[in-house]
Amino acid sequence: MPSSQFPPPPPFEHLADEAIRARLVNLRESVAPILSNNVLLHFTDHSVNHSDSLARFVDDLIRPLQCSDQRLSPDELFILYAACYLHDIGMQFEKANETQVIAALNLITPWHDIPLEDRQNIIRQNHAAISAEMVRNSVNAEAPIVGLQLTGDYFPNYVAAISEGHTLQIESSRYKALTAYGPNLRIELLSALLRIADILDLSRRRANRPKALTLNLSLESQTHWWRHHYTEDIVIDQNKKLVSVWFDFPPTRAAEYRKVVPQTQMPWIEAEFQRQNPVFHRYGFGWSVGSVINDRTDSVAEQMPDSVLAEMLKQLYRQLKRDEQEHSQMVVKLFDDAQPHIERRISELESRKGSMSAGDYLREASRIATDLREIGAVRTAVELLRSAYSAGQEELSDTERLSIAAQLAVLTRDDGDASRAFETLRALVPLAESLADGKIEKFLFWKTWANSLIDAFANDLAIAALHRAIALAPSQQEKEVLSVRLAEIQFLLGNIEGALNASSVTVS
Amino acid sequence: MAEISPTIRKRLIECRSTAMVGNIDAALGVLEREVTSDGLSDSERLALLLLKAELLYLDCREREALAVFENEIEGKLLSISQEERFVVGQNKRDVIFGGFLASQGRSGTFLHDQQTMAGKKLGNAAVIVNAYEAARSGRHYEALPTLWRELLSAYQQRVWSYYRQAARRVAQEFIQIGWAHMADFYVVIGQDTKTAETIADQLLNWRNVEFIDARVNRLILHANLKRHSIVACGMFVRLADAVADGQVIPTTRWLLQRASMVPTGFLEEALVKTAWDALVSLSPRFDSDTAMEVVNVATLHESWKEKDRVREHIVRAVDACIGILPVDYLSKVAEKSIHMAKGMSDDINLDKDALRLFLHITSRADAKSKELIREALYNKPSVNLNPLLIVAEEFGKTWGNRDEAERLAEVVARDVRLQVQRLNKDEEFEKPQVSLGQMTLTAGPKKVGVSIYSDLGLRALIPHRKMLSEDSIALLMDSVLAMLHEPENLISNKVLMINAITGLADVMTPKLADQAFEILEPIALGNVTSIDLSKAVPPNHPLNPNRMDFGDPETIQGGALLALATLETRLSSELRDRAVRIIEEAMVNPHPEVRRLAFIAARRVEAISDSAVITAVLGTRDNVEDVVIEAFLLLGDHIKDTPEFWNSVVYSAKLASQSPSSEIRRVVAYTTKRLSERCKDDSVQRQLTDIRSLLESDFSYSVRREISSNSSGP
Repeated sequence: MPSSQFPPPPPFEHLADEAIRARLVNLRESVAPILSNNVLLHFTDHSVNHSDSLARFVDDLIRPLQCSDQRLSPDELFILYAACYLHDIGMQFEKANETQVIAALNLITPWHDIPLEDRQNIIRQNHAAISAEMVRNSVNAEAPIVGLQLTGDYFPNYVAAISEGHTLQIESSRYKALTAYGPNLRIELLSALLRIADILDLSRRRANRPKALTLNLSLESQTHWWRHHYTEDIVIDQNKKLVSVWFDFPPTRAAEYRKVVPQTQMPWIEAEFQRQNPVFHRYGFGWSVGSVINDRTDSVAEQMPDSVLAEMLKQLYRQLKRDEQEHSQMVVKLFDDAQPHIERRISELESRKGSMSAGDYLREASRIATDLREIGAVRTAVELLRSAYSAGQEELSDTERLSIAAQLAVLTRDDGDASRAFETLRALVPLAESLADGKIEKFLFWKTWANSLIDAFANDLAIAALHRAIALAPSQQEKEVLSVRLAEIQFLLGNIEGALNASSVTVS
Repeated sequence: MAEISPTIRKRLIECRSTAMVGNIDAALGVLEREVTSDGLSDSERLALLLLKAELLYLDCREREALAVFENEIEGKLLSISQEERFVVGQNKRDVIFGGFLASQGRSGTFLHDQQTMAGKKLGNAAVIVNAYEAARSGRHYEALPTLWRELLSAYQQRVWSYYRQAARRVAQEFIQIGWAHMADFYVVIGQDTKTAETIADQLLNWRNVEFIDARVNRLILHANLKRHSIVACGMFVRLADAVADGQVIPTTRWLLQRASMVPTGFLEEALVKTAWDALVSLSPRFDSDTAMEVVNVATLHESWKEKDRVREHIVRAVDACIGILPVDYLSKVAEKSIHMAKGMSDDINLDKDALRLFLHITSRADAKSKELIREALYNKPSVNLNPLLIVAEEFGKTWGNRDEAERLAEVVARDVRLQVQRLNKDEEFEKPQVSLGQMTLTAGPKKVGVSIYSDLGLRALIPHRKMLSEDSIALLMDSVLAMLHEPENLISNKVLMINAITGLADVMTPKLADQAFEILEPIALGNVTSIDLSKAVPPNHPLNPNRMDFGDPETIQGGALLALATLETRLSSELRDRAVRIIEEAMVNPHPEVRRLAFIAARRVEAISDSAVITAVLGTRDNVEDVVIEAFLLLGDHIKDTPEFWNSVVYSAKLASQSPSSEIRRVVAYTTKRLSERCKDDSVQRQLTDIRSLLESDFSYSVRREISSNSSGP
C-alpha cells in the first residue's frame, strides 16, 4: 500500500536528531497499513491517525519536561513515539490465534469456531500483550509481522514493555516489572506518558458518523462511540498546566446530556491522571484535568438514541454502586486494620490489671472506650467499660464516677440498649444530688439522666430531671437547649399547656 | 438532619401547640414573620415552612399547603441537605395525596426510588419488630419505651407520615397495656379514627367518669385542627352517652362549629359528616333549646338545600331532635324540610333518612304539617314500586285500589321466582325487576342463575296485604315458600323470604300457615341448604381479598324461629306446640345468633314453658352481650312466680347492673322496672329497688334515662 494514502507524519517536535526521526517515520510508514486493517470493526478509529494524535499529545504533554534538566533523551523520545505506533497494533492482528498470548489462554473452542464477536472481544482484551508479542517477534525477523524488521536501535524490548503495559493495572506486579528502569531509560515515565496520551485521544475525530451508520454496534460500543462524538476537543494549556476536555451537545438535549456524558467520560481520565501524576511529579512536572461544556447554539452534535443514553445511565449507576460498596468495604477494612491496635491496647491494659488498682484500670478503660467509639467500635467499648466500671467505680472520686457512668450510659444507648443505660444511671442519682450545684459533673449527669428517663418513658421523672438539669446548666445556651427539649417532650406527652409554658412565649 | 437552633425549635413547638388549641391563624402569622428573620439558615427556614405547610395540611387547606412547597420551599432553599429534600418530597406527597390534588406525575415514585437508593427508611423497622415481639411476649416495659423513642425520632425527622405512624403505634401499645386513657392524644396526632373507636369503647367499659371528663375536655381543647377534629368527632360518636351533663352543651357547641362548615374537600366533608353523626349520638342529651339550636344550624347549612353526601347526616341529626322539639316548632321544621319531599316519588334511590324524618315529624306534628308532608310526598297518582308505598299508611295515605294491588301481587309473585333460574347453557338469565346483581354457576350443559334479590316489591305489598285476596296471598306465598325451599338459593335471599312470611303471617289461612311451617321447620332446626359457593367464590377463605357476605346459616335459622313465632297463632294446634318447642330448644343452641333470635321469638309467642323461663334466667348470664339483652327482655314478658325464679332473676339483675356494657345495664333498668310491677314479694321488691337506685346514678345517660322513663320498651 503506497504511503501516500496516509496523512503526513506529525512533527515529533522534541526530536532533534534527524536520523532518529527518519527511523521513526520509517516505522510509521511500515505499521500504518497494518493499523488500517480495522479488524475490530465496532471500535472507534484505531488507524495511524490515532497514533499520530498520541504523538501530538506527547509533544504537548512533555513540553514542560523538555524545558527542564529532566528532559527526555533522544532514545527515550524514540521509544515513546514508537510505542504510539505499536501499542495498538495487536488490535489489528487477525491471526491473533497464532500468538503465544492467545495460546496461553487455553481456549476450549478452536479459534475459528468461536463467534466473530467473541473473537474480537478476546483480541480487544488482550491486544496490548499481542502488540508486545508482535514487536518482540519482529526483532531481526525475516518476515516481521509489524511490517519492519526491528533491530536493537528500535529498542524493541522497551517499546514492547510500554505497549503491553498500556492497559495493565499499575499496581500489578507485571506492570511494575515491565516499567522497571532501563539503562538511562525512565520506562515508568514513558509508560505514564503513553497511557495519558492514549486516554486523551477521545475526541469527535475518532467517531466517524458515516462509518458508524454502516455498523451494527453493540450498546456498549455505541456508548464509547457517542462519548467520542460529544468530546469536541482536548485543549492543553501550558500556562495553567491544565488539560481541558471540551464537550459539545445538541442544544435540544444539552440539559440532559451534560449531567450524564461527562460523568461517564471524566472519571476514567481523572483516574489515569491521578495514577500518573505522582510519576510526573518525580520529574518536576504535572497536569491537572478538567471539563468544559461548550454551550453552543450552533452545535452540530447529534442526538444519541435513548437506548444509548439509558445504557450510559446504567453504566453510571453500576459505577456508583461499585464505589458505594468500595466505600463501605473501606470503612470495615479500617476497622479490620484497627483491630490489632485495639487488641494490643486492651491486652496491654489487661496485662497490667494485677498491678494497678481497679479505679486506675477503669480510668484507662474509659480512655480506650472513648477512642473505640470514635472509630465506630461501640459494642467493644461498651463491653470493655462495663466490666471495668462494675469492678472499679467504688474507687473513683464522686465526680469521676458520675462522668464515667454517664459515658457508659451514652455508649450503651448508642449500642441500642436504652434500658441498660437507664439502669446504669439510676443507682447514681443520690450521689449526683450530693454534689454541690456548681459542679459540671452534676449538671452533665442530670442531663444524661433526663435523656435516659425520656428514653425509658418515665415521663414525670424525665420532666423533673429536665427541670433539674436546666437549673444546673452552666450556660444560658445549655438552658435554652434543655428547655426546648422540655417543651418538645411536654408536647409529645400530650401536655400542650405544658409545652406552651415550657416554650414560654405567648402567641396571641 | 441539620441542627436547628433552640430558638427556632421553641417557635416550632409554640406554633404547633397554638394551632392545636384553635389559634391556627396566630400560629401561621408567627411562622410567616419568623421565616423572614435575618440570620436563619436554610434548614431553619425549612423547618418553619414545613410546619406552616403541615398546619395548613392538618387544617384541610391542602392547596395552601402545596403552595408553601411550590412557592416558598422548592428552588428557594438551595443549601438544604439531600435528607431534607427527601423530607420535603415526602411531605409534599402527603399533601397531594391527602388533598386529592392534581396528579404529581411520577415524582412520587421517583422519590420512593431515590430514597431506596439512598438507603433512607422511615423509622427503624428492626426496632419496631422487636417492640412488637416484646409486646407479644408481655414485655410491655420494653415495647412501650421503644415505640415512644420511635415517636421522638419521628418528631425530629419531620416526616409527617412517619410521625403519624409512630403516634399510632404508641396509641395501640397504650391500648394493649390497658392505658387507653393515655392514648387519646396519640390517636389525634396519628389521625387514627379506628384506634380512637377502640379507646372510646375501653373508656366506656371502665365507667370512670373522671377519665371520660378529662378526655372530652382534652379533645375539645386540643383537637381543633380539622384532621384532628375528625378523630375527636369519631370519639364523641361513641362517648356521647357518657359525656357528663355539664359537658353536653360545650361539646355540642364544639361539634356545631365543625358541623356548620361548608366542606371544600374530601376530608372536610368527612369532618362535617362525623360532626353531625356525633350530634346524633349526643341528641338524647339535648334539651329543647339545644335541639332547636342544632336544627337551626342544620336547616341553614348549604347541604340542607341540595342533596349531597353531607345532607343525609344532617337529616339524621334533625331527625334525632324531632322527639325533643316543642310541637309548635315542628311545623317550622316541616316547612324547612319540605323541599326534600318533592320529587321523592320519582326517585328510586329516594332519601330514606329524609323519609324517616318525615315519618317522625308526621307522628308528632299538627294536622296541617302532616298534610303538607303527605301532599308533597304523594303528589303523583301512582308511585309504583317505590319505598314510599311501604310507608304510605303511616302518612295516612291509602294506596290506589284493590285491582292495582292484585296486579302488583301477581307481578311480584312471578318476580320472586326469578331469584333462581335453572337454565340451559345458551339460555339467558331473566333479571328480576330490582336486583342487586347476579351470578351464574355452570355445570356441564346446565347452568344455575341466582339473583342477589331486592325485596322492594314484597315490602311494598306487605303494608297493603289486607287489600289482597286470599288467592293473591296464596300466589305470593307459593313463590316465597318455593324460593325459601330452593336449595340453590342464596341465604341472603332466603332471609328476605322469611321476612315476607313474617310480614304476611296475619293474612294467611291456617292451611297456608301450615304449609309455611313445613318449609320453616327444618330450617328452624338448623337444616339450612343454600347454593354452594365454596368452589366458585370461597368467601371465608383467609386469602380471598374479595369478601362477599351472602348471609350465615345461623341468621336464617334464627329468622325461621321468628317466622314460626309470628305464625304461631295461625297454626293448627299440633304444629303450634311443635313450633313453640322448636323455639324453646333453640334458646340453648350453641350458636349465639340462634340463641338471640330464639329469645326474641319466644317473646312473640303467647306462652312459654316454665323450663323455658328458667332457660331465659340462665340466658341473662350468657357470655354474649346480645343474648343477655334478649334474655332480660324475655323475662320482662314471661315470668314464673316462684321464690326460685325471683331469687335467680334478682341475682342476674344484680350481676348485670355492674356490666361494662351500657346496653345491658339499660335493659336491666327496663326489665327491673317491669318485674317490680309484677313482683309481690317485699324482699325481692327491696332488692329490685336497690338495683334501680344503683342504675339511677349510672355513668351512662341512656341507663339513667331508662330507669326514669315510662317507656314501654328500651
